[in-house]
Amino acid sequence: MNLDQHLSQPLAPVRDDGFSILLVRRVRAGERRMKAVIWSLLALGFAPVLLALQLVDTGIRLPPDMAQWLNSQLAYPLGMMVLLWVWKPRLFPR
Amino acid sequence: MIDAAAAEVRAAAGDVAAFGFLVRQHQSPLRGYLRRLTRGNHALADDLAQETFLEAHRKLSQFAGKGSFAGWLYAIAWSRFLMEARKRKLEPLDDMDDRVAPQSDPALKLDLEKALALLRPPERSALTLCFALGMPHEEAAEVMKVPLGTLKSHVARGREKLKILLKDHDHES
Repeated sequence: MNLDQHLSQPLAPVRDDGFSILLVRRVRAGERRMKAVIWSLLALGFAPVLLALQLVDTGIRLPPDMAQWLNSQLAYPLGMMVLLWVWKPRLFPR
Repeated sequence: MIDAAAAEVRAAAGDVAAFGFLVRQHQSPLRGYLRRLTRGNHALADDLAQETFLEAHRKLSQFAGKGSFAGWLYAIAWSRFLMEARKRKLEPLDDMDDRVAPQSDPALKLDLEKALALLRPPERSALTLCFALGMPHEEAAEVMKVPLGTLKSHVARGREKLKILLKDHDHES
């Protein structure tokens, strides 16, 4: 057998031994974490809105100025951050 | 049962089961390639394979069927290996490695894997991609992100070095 024939031998097969299952588990766990982060940010972003609208009776009554300030200074940037994060692969393809 | 092309489309759309199918399909040759690159360090090769697949999953939407999926996957694996090699200073990557000189020890008895382990990583990678994995030179050059001429010279130099290393071995066998 010459060198080229030696080199052309297929690589020794590597048994899966749970490699694929572990990897898919890691992918799923990563996706769950990502969803948790997104929902947490959304909840954070909407909390001031709910407080301002007084839809949720938390016992906290914010003065209208404060509620408006929170809404514009916190909710909007957080909402934008979430949207940017979700759309990042489409907006900034590598 | 789904075919590979359909699995690529579905995985890019976020179907984790389809991605799992692709992992099962490609894990053996990819891990074999990385084991060869890491000179038989199975643990490191498997870590790199896992990182390769995770990066592939993150970037699947960017793949969009340009070239072969396997080629795209090996390109990620090669760049992961280079990063790791630089970080760990595993072995010289860019400088000329003259360990395999024509006057090498005549008593050297090596099998192919051991001989390949003595080559520079680009030569090892080029030979594995072009021979063991049967890639055309153009595709292997894309995987390694080098011009076609450079890829061909990696192949030629690697073969020459292997001939020297395996000469004594062939006489024995």
